[in-house]
Amino acid sequence: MSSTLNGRGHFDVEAHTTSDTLTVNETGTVHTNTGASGAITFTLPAAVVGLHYKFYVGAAQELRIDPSGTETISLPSSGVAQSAGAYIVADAVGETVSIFCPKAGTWAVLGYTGTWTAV
Amino acid sequence: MAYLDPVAGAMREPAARSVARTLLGLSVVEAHTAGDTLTTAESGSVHSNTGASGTIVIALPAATVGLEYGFYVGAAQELRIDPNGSETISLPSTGVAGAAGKYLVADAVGETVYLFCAKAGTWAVRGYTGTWTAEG
Repeated sequence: MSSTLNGRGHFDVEAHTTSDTLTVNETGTVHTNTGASGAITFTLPAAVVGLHYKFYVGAAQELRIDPSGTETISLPSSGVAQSAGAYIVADAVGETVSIFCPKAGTWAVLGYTGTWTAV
Repeated sequence: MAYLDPVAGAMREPAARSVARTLLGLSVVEAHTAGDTLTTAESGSVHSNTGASGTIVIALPAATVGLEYGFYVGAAQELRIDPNGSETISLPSTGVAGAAGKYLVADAVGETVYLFCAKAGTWAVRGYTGTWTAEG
């Protein structure tokens, strides 16, 4: 079940031990690397206005969030869009980021904790 | 298709589409090229200044517990968020309530803030990016 951005209702939390490609139907869900023994990558769908996802580092391994193709993700600490196709990454348990699409092809950050960097 | 609301001077979605987006789990994102006053019915939505060619002011409704709004700077112009009357908004970087009636402002593309009301008359910050300052 997906939730709206305002958090009404429950939202799904999915723990991943391997990489995954997210779908538009999963908008509103939370994805973690809990149980992972190495780096994993979440590939985002093409950024369509209104899509939104949350991520939680549940294992001390790299959790990478990779935009589709040459789309961009903002760096959480500054809000500045990163290079085309660059992913953001964090690896300390408890770090989180909430992203949404305000404009086609662009992922912005509505909240985060910890230190996320871009690669 | 979004349409121009001639009264508010802002792009709006037809109600049916807005409902459909909510049911699909999509958030409503509204781009404003002119100032607007938000309503309680818009709680949970995101507002940007994408396409604006100058400063715009988004006025908040009276802060009632449970209301929440997101904001995104989509054009390198001042996006001001103005509380109702003498209500207050916390400064994102500190969480400290601003002075009565003072707005928050940011102007770099990608900056965001998410406000919610946990106590009548005050807006708190649930998350933000970039540099938001309070009206001087």
